[in-house]
Amino acid sequence: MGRLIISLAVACFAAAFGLALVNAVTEAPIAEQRRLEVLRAVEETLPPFDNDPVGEALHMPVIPPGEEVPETVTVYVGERGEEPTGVAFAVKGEGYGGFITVMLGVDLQGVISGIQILEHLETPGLGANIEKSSFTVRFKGKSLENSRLVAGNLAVINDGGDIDALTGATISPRGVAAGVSWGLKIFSEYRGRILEEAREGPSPASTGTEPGTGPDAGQEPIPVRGEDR
Amino acid sequence: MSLWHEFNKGIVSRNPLLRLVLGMCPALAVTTAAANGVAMGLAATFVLVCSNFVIAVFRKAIPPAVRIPIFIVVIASFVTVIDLVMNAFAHEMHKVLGLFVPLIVVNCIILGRAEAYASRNPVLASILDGLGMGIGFTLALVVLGGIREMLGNGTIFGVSVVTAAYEPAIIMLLPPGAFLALGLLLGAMNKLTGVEGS
Amino acid sequence: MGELFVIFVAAVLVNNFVLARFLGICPFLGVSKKVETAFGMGMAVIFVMTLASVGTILLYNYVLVPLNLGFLQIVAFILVIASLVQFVETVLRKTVPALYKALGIYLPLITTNCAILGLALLNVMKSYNFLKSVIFGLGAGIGFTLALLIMSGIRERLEFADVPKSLRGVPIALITASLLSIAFLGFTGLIKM
Repeated sequence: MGRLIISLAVACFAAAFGLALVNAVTEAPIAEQRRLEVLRAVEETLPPFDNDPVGEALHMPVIPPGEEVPETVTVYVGERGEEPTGVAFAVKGEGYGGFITVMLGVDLQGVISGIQILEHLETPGLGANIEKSSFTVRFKGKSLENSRLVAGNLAVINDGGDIDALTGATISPRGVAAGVSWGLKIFSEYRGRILEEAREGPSPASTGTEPGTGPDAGQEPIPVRGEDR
Repeated sequence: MSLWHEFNKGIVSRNPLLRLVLGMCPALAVTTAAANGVAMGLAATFVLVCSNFVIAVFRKAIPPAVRIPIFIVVIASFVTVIDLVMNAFAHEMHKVLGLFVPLIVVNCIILGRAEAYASRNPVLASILDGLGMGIGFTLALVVLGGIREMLGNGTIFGVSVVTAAYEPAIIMLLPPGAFLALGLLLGAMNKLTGVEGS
Repeated sequence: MGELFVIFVAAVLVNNFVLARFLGICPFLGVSKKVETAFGMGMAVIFVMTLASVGTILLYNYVLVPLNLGFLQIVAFILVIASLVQFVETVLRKTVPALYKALGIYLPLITTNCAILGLALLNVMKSYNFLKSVIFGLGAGIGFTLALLIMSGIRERLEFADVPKSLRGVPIALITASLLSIAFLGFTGLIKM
């Protein structure tokens, strides 16, 4: 009996020790990968900048239109020569298979400078085509002022808006449009505060991207609006 | 029982996926593209070889009564290693395989080889056994991934292999296509080798 | 409340563990030859899944995260699941022998059922709280049982069909699963997630 317990304990301690070593080696690269992932999406969507939007990210509590509970949105502000040029943050819309997470970049006038699909569960070959740049480019240059709105939102042509949907897939583009519209409204409402906080420098809560706690903690690199899926 | 045989048996005659019908969950889930099959197969091979090695080295020291928990700890540790390493150095692929990297722990192939082979055979033979089984599993995943990628996307390893006239059958990339392709592949293996299904 | 309902329905129908997520394929094919055994297995899985979901999320939130040992989650989860199965087996044998008789032989098979570990990992990935984990575990177990029961009903009848020799057994079961999975695809878009 004693031998059994000892051998089990030895196995467990050896495993824990070995894994702690491996974890120590991989922790930094994993955090770096997550940072790069966000940075790539930010570069893709923001107007040209020369600062480090990811390192200086703001964590802003916002109250979404029509809701009461505040949510924290991580905002990446692009600056050029100390002057803000645009803002990027992740938004979510309901697609066909689940939530679609989109990085939305806008300039200071609220005109979309770019969007990139971060995560989605849409049908391969149909709805999944939203991640192609031929689709995402359709949002570039749009704003709540210059677009044909349906119930105050950007919308696909089928719904009376002016964004080209995809062949064989309407629900996924509709989800992207809804998420983007949500983001545009948030921006127009919080524009002043975002820019004010950006001038003051990083808010105390933002100490860069926090390293995840487990091997899978990074599945959702940019937490926004509730949980995924 | 030459060493060559220990290595070789896992590839065709006792292929874990196509003959022993083990490891079906990852085989169905990640084979939407041939490249995913390679990555999943190599990750499983790494765990198989390492756990077979460690278990064969300590096979005389492990008390039989607690061998299964110890095997599980050993396997789970190596799975964590590959999970962390892939996350750090093959981040994109890690995201694609997602849940199925940690789930290598409960892949019956690995515990099966630990229990049936590594716990009663010498070190070198156990390593070769693990390597052969791992490569056999990888090959099966690549074949399945290749078929699904070709029919569902018109490409193999991302290279287009069809003419513009071919309209890809998206269903092959969806869950039903996974079940169908594996079912027919197993049937074809039975037909070719003259073995009847159970 | 509404959110819990959505999690439940999504786990049972939309993202069915077997037919959409490919978790628990081994028992799905192995224990689906007869409706009776499928039912027994299904009940055992629902029971263990709900318990495992609770056990692992508590372990993760109150032990691994505070101690900064997130990297041990795979090892810790699989040990919890294995001991939980052992524990349930012992308790059932001593307290409810009738239930043990019905479920007992399926319990050891559950440890290597990847649906259980998959569930535990999904809970962490989705950062579900305690209540959501319970509902998700219950839904996943019921979804698994649903798929298993439908499959066993079909396979009982398939026994009398003239299936080509090389397709008998697992191949035809997979092809059947493919058709079932097409049917379950119809649930996609059923609920606003």
